[in-house]
Amino acid sequence: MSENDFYTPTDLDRLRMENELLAFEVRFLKARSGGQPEVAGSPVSLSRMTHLEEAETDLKLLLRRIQNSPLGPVARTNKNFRTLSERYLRQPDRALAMSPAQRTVYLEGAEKDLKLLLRRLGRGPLGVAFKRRKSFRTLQERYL
Amino acid sequence: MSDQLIIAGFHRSGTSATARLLHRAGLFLGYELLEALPSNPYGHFEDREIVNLHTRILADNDRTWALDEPLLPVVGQQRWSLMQRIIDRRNSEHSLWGFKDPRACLFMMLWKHLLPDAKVLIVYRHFSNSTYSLGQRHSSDMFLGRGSAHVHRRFWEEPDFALKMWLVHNNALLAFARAFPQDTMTVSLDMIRDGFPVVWALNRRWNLNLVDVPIAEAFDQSISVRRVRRQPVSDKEWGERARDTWSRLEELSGQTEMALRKEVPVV
Amino acid sequence: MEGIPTDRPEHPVFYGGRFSEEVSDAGLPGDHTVLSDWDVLPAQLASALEPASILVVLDMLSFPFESLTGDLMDVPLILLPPPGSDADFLATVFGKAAFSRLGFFDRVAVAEDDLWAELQGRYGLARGQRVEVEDGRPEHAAAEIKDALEAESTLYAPFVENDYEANRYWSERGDALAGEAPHRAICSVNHGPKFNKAIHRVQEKALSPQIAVARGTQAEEVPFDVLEIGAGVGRWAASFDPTRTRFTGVDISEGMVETARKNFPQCRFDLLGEDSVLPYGDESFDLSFSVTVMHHNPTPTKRALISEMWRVTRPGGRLMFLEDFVSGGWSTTSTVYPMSVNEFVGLLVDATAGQVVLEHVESIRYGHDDFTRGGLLGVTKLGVARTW
Repeated sequence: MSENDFYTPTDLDRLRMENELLAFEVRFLKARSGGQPEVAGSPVSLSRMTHLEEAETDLKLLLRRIQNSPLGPVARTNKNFRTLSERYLRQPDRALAMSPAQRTVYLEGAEKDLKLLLRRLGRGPLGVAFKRRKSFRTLQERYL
Repeated sequence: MSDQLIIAGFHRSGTSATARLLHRAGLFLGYELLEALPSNPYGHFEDREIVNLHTRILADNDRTWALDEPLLPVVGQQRWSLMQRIIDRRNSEHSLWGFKDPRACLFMMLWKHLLPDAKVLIVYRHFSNSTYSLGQRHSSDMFLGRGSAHVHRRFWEEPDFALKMWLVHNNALLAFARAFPQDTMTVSLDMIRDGFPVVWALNRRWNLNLVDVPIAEAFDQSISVRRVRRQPVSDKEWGERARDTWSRLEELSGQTEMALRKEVPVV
Repeated sequence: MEGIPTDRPEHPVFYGGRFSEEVSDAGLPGDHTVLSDWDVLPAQLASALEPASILVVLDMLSFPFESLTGDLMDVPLILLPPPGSDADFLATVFGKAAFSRLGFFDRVAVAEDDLWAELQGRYGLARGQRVEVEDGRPEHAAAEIKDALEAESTLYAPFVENDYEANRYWSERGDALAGEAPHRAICSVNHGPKFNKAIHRVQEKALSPQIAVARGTQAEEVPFDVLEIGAGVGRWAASFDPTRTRFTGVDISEGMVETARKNFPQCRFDLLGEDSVLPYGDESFDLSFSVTVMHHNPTPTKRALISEMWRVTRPGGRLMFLEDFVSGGWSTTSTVYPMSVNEFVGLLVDATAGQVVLEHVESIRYGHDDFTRGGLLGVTKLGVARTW
């Protein structure tokens, strides 16, 4: 390519304004498309990251509550519950040491685990009891 | 025919206590009022359906509740339909209903579009104390590993973040009050704490038939976080804007007080 | 709109076709090129038109209109109908290939008033799109057209450094240029017709679909009430179907308003006062829009204009803004107040008290600029109608 095919932006104001304009357009297009999930490899938006972190926190809260409830001893005999507890309660600071990409994968896993747990808890005879609790219904509404 | 009363105010401005007061006075605030969760720490007396709707519209626009710049939202047809369903159910089951959600500050015009006769009680608090309270809460949550670290960090990494949030929300409220003065009553948290008879004033102004409840039942005077030192600001322009917005809010609440004095003769 | 001047000097290009010898022998003054029919073979057309500020087609019968595609359409045209031809003949032979593709920046050189009236009626041409010639023969018409182009290209000295005042400047510029060089009155004053037509085409590509969306599903028999702020000589009126639209334009320049009224007598054009108050009642229009107007005005004027646009638009109606959102720092000779899209959105939310929702965002890139420069924003007005 010849030198004429390149340009070096030297005006910071113009760069900033162009970035703002294009970011604004991308935000609009995402909103118009109904908030489709991010394409693999694309940077995670702030709102999505916030949502993922909230999902992790709510998952930990739910696991702790089950653990400390009368159902705790029974839950601890369940292999899946033990896996989740090990992953999210026994090593709470693990995520802090991860790289941003690893942390995103970890948080997305937490969101999936929370959704799965909510679905499973919401089924069967126990599901009736869980759904009576306002906080459980709140979580179902938010994540399912 | 139903009446609607929306309690609108920025986070940490006394809206929860006001909602508690009006809830006791008979204002229906929702079918499922949230308790505070780590992911929604200020969630007292907030209707789950309403909060979720607002959160979804914010998420549609790639935003969170921590909004520090004016929002010009895209509102999809699904969201409009959801709002209408929420309204229809409440209208059919309650002669007077409302909701409280600080996120509503950003969506007052959407609600007004569907509820042309809705009334709004604006509750505000000085930016210094609101932002101090916000900062306190987010710093302790960050150290305790509660909630979203991403959001907590914004309060410390982005200059004047809380102040900008306060401005965005309160300017939106001022715009609403300017557009619909007949449908707005503005009070400050201090006014209510000092004994302003907010329930009586609402009934007088709009015939809402709320039960008059003593303020002490809802407001705990001992809980008051106030900033004791001067507020730091990285760009003085934000301070100027905050002062301007504050004085316009004070003007509105002053009008509320004047209107009350005219109603209640001094003996 | 002020852009970066190109290095290569542009000049009028005359396509003489079968008459190129006569045209060349006519001794036209000033810088120009005369092309023969060999010069416009498809493989050569692009390079033949590269230096063209305007293309005057003196021999329509031999010109390959179908080869005018893509960026070649940026070159404004002046068409000279074959001598003695009538409107029916022109429509049959050239209707699809030429006349129906003419835009606001293209013109027709016509001697006979009757022929002009027919063409104007068939193709919705504005009065300013006529170049009046006395003699329809190519070598004579060429000289008349060249003289007209020379008169249009006189430089306009805008204002003394550091003395830009929006209302005064645009009023004076419009009064000075609206009649003689309208494309410079309404677009870039320092650039030729090709630069300005190119900008117009980019803007039209973004605006036309949104105009259709704004009209939406309104019943056919219900007129579409449209208002343009800063309408100039009425170039955007041509984008609306006159049988279904009641178009109103408002401008600060009397000269522009007068020319617009002559261009589009079926539309309404009013003078805007310096107080920015629109002379219309609340909720009068289905669509209010502005094209490259806001960024020339200081913030208080922007706020006032936006607020007025909101007032006169019906609830459920649209407001559209096509503006520059990327520009360098303020300079003492600039007519542009740098304004980012975020700043504009803040102003829009403030001026409308948030009583709008966002419907469309589109960034716009012009051919002469490396940056993505402009944007088209469309919002819908919220609220319940207060007037019938």
